[in-house]
Amino acid sequence: MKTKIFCTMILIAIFVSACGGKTEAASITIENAWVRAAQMGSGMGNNMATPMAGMEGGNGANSAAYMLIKNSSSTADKLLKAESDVAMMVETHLSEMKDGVMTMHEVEGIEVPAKGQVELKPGSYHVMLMGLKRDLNAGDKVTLTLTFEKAGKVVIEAEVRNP
Amino acid sequence: MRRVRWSFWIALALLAGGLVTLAWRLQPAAARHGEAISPAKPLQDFTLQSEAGPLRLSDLRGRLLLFFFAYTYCPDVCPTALSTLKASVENLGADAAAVQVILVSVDPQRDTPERLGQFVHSFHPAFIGLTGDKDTLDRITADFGVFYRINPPEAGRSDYTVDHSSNILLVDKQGRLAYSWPFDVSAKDLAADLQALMR
Repeated sequence: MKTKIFCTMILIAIFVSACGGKTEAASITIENAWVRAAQMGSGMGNNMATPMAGMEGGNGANSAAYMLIKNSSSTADKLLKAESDVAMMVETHLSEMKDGVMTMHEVEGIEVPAKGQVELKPGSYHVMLMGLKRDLNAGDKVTLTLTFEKAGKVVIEAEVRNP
Repeated sequence: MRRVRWSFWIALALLAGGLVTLAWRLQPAAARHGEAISPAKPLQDFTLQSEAGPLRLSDLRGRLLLFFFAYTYCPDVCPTALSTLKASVENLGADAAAVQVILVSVDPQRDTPERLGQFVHSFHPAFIGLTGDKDTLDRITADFGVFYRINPPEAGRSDYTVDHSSNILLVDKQGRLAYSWPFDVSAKDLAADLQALMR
C-alpha cells in the first residue's frame, strides 16, 4: 500500500514538473522568423584586405535574422543568446540611430516584456550572423537555437528571404 | 463696349491661367518622402576605385545618382538600404537607366574594390561599389556631409563595426547634392520621388 502511494506521488511529481517545463517553453512563441539572403561568391573570404581572426572558415559575409518574439507569461523574459550552424559567430545586436548616425553594437540580452512582445527588425534588434559558412539563398531554411532566461531553449527554422 | 470688356476679362483669365501653369512648371519637382537639400550643393569631383577600375564622379554626370555610404560587413542597415534601392530601381521600369546606385565604402581596410563589387552585385548587377584611401574618403564624406567612425575592435577580437550616416543621398544631373532620404524609406516612396525628380 505504502509503495502504491509512493509511486503515485512520484508520478504526480513527474507530471507536475513536466507540465511546468512545458508551460515555460510555451510562454515564448516566435513568429515570422526570417534571415536576409546573402550571396557573396566563394572567393569572398579571400578578398578581405585584412582577414579576421577566427573567421577563416567563413566566407566573410554577414547576415542577420529577424523575428517577432511573444511572451505570454506574466513575468518578463530575456533572449540571452542565439546559435546557428550557418555562421562562425552569432550575436544579439542592436542598430541605433544617434544624431543621424547609425551605430551597431552587441547587447547583453533582449528583453521580452511580460504579456508582451519584442520585434527583431531591420534598423533595430537583430541576431547577427557573422562569417557565413555558406551562401544564404531565398527559400533556404536556417535553424536557430534561441536561449531564453526563463523559457530555456527554443529551436526555430527561419526562412531565408530577399526582402 | 460691353463686348470689349468681355474679351478683356477672358484674356486676363487666360493670362492668369498661363502664369499659374508656368509657375507650376518652373517649380522644382517635389519629392514628397525625402528632404530637399536647399540650395543644392555643388560637389567637388573625385576619383574612387570600383572593381572595374577608377571612376570619377564627373564620369557619371547626366544621371540621378543615389549614394549610400556603408560597409560590406554591416549585416543590418546597409543591406536593408540596398534592398530598398534595388526594389525602387526595379519599380522605375524603363526609367531605371536614368538612375545609378553607388555604394561608397567607409571601411577601406576590409572592403577591397573586388569585395565591394561582389557585395553590390549580389543586390543588383548595375550597382557600383566604390572605395579609396582614407584621405580621399575623408575629403568626399566631408563634402557630402557624411559622418563615419571606425570603432576599435573589442578586446580579444579583430572584427569591428563602423558608425556612419545612414541617409540615401541624391546627386542631381548637374552633380549637386540635392536630396536625402532616411535608410528605411519604402521602395515605393523612393521610386515615386525619383520619378517626380526626373520630370
